[in-house]
Order: sequence, then C-alpha cells, then structure tokens
Amino acid sequence: MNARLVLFCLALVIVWQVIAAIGIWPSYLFPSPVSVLSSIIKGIQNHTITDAIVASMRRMAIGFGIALMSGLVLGVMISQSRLMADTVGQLVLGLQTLPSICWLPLAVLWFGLDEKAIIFVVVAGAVWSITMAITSGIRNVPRLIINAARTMGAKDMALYSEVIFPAALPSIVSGVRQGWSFAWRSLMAGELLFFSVGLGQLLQTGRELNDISQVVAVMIVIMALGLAIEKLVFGKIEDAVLKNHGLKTDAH
Amino acid sequence: MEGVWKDFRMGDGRLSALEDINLEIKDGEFVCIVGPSGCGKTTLLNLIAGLVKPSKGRVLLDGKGIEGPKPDRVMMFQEAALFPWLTVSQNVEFGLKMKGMSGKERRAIALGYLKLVRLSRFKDSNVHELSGGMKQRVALARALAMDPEVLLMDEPFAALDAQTRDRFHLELQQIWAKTRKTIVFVTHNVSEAVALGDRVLMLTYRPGRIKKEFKVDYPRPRQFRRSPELAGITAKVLDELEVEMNRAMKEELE
Repeated sequence: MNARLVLFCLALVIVWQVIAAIGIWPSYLFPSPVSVLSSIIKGIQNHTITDAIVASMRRMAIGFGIALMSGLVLGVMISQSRLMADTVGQLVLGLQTLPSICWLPLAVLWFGLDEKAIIFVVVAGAVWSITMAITSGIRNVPRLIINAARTMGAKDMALYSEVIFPAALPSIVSGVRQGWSFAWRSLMAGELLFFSVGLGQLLQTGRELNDISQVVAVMIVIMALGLAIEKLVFGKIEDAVLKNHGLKTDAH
Repeated sequence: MEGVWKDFRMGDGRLSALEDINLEIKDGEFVCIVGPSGCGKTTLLNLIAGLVKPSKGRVLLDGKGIEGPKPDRVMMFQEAALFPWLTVSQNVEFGLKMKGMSGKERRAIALGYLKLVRLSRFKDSNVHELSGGMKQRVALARALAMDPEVLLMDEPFAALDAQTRDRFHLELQQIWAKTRKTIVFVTHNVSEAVALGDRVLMLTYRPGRIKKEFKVDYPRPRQFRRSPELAGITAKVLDELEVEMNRAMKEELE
C-alpha cells in the first residue's frame, strides 16, 4: 500500500469523524468512525463477526469450487466445436446476463431454506463467467502454437494439459477472478435474504436492531475482505501468470 | 508426394491450392521451394507435416503414408512459435517430454542443441527476454532436439533483419552438414533459396504446380554475397518468377 492511499484513507476518516461530531444527522442515522470501530472490535470479541466470516467464506469456498470445476468442464466442451459454441455457448451467455440472485427463489423451491440453496446461488453467480473465460481462452490460443505442439508429438490430453491450458491461462485467470467477484456479490445478496449465520445476515440483524454502527461495521468488513482476496489472492496469481507469459514486466 | 492435389473451401466455390504435385525428396537433401505468395508453398509443407490432408493423391515418407503430424517431421515457422510460459530449455525439451523421456535425459539433450545454436547461456531465461533471432535459434534447437527425419521450414528467417539472416544461412548450412537432416525450406526470398538449397523448386501461382526445378551444384558453405555464380542462378530463377508474378497480378486485378 502506498503512502498516498494511507493518507487518503486517514483524511476520509477524519472528515467522517468531523461530520459526525458536528451532529448534522442524529447518531442513529450517521454513526461516527469511533462507534463503528468499537462495533467491529465487539463483533470480533463476541465472535459474531468472526463466525459470520467463517460461515460466508465456507460457502464461498464450496460454491466457487463447484463453479470452477463445472465451468472448466462446460468451457472445454463448448470450445470443442462451432456447434457447441453456437448453441450451449449462447445459452451460457444468456444465463450470464441473469442476475444471480434471481436464482434464489428457484433454489429455495429445489433445496428448501437450506445451506444448499445459498451455495447454489453462489455457483450460479460464478459459473457462467468462468465458463466463458475458459471457452474464449481456449479458442484464442494461436493456431500456430497448437500446430507447433502437434508437429512435436503433442496430442489429446497432453495437448490440453501441456499446451492449450498453459497458453490460455492468462485469460482463464482473469475470468476466474471475475467469477469470484460475481460469486461474492451473489453470496452477500443471498445471505441478506436468508436467515442463517453469515455476513449478509449480520447486516440484516444490524438493521433489525436499529444498530447503524453494526451495519456500517459489517459493510466495512465485507469490503475489506473482498478487497483482500481480490488484491492478495487473485491479484498476485494474475501478476505471476502475466509475468511468466511475458505479458507484464517487473518495471511498471 | 504422388499426384497430390489440395483444394480449400472458399465461400461457395473451391479454391485449388495445389494441383498434381509430384515430388521426390531424397534422404539428406536440402530442397528449397519458392513461388509468388499464395502459391501454396505453406500448404505443401503442411501436407508433409500432416497438419492438413491432401484432397487427392498420397504423401509418403520412406514408402509409408503420412497420417497426421508426427515428430519424425518437425516444422519451423516464420514466427518462432515458442511457448512463452516455459523457459528456453523447457521449450527445447518439449518434444522429448511428449516422447516420455525423463527429465534428466531431456535436459542433457536440450543443452547439447542449445550449445549447437550457441544459446546455452540462456537456457533458464524466459522466452520473452530473447531477441527475434535468438527465438528463432531456440526454435531450431527445439526442432533438432526431436531428431526428426525431415525438417520443414516455413520462411523461418523472413522476420529477421538482413545481418541476422546472413548469419543464420551460414549456421544452418553448418548444422545441416553436421546433422544431415532432410530439409524442405519454403521462402519467398530467391537468393536465400539459391544459397541454401541443393535444388530450388518453383511453384506457379494458384493453383500451385511445380513449374521448374533448378539444381544448385555449388560447394558449401555458400555465402551469397561472395559468389557471382549464385547470383547468376538467382537471376534465372527471378526471371522465371517474374512471369508468375505478372500472371498473379493480372488474376488479382480481374
């Protein structure tokens, strides 16, 4: 993190504190940073926030894992032929435009008010963009690279594992990253409407208790968590892949 | 190649790329193929490589029909077509890995060929750290490491600057003298073809037919700029080529 960003955040908090201290709005509508911070600390101490994080991340891990596997299978299938691309590929594109929370009523009817329903929504949020990324990644591998590999004896599975996947990796990684952020949104939306432990539900509880500090505190936690995974996990992976492929140099 | 024809679908019609190609290449021979662009030179190589199938006729290697690509015929392209996610050495090892050779053995062989193209210092470099000429050298090492019977080269030096290309011509001749591979070399650069080949074949423009064959009987290593004889042959080939080019121009304008 650079110094400019730290200063900016600090300034933001100060402005926020000043506005809260002037008291234009009552504190039950506009919490001060201090009360939000104490809400976070309290939440960590009594485990409500930490439990919620664990529950939400668990759903993400399962749902995203399933989305990744099925996106891989679907994506490879679609990339096999023009016919698949024009049929199944178009269907995937259509489903991608459907906001994933729209799957929730269906999921509840299928699975009941159950953990599975939420995970289903997470999968539905991520799987289409992962599928599309894998399809286009594979389709965009230069013919030249594939021909070169074929003349050297690469075929079938080895052609995929040793050439096509590595070559498609940069675009696959960025698609998976996008899939993750869709899944994250879907999860939060799902948890808001759903009553079981989780960050989204913690937001909802805050509203019910009229505890605006908790609402803002959980929002900040959700943002921080999303940012951390985005930057520290996917950012690093993408960076490493791009560097390895010579698409990005160290100096930038 | 026996009576090979190849056409491609183009819109509603068919485009005849090669017509009745009969060509025998001897073991250890260096054959260059020239012709106006669009004459099917690359298609000819692709047929030998097994990347495309003939519409009619047969392509044989040692009397056996060619069914798809196999590492006894390795191709080098205009672009190096290296795999950017692998190091230089791993690129050279790739074909050997596909053959199922162990890591240690592979590395030793790769190092040998990298020495041959004088790039052993760069064995652990990333591909994108190399210049165009170095990449093409790695591609050559990668092809040779497969120990193919036939080396197919599709304008491999076209993207290089003139000085680098001259060096390559000498080096390729030395390597050829050492390894005695059969080389089929496609180029649009006539002086390059004359400098390198035992035979220079000229294809006609669309459909590609073998129009003429020039034998280049001249001691090696040849260096084009030092030899008036080579220049003489080149002039003859160029005259012939000009006729074809004019025909191509006319057809394209119609």
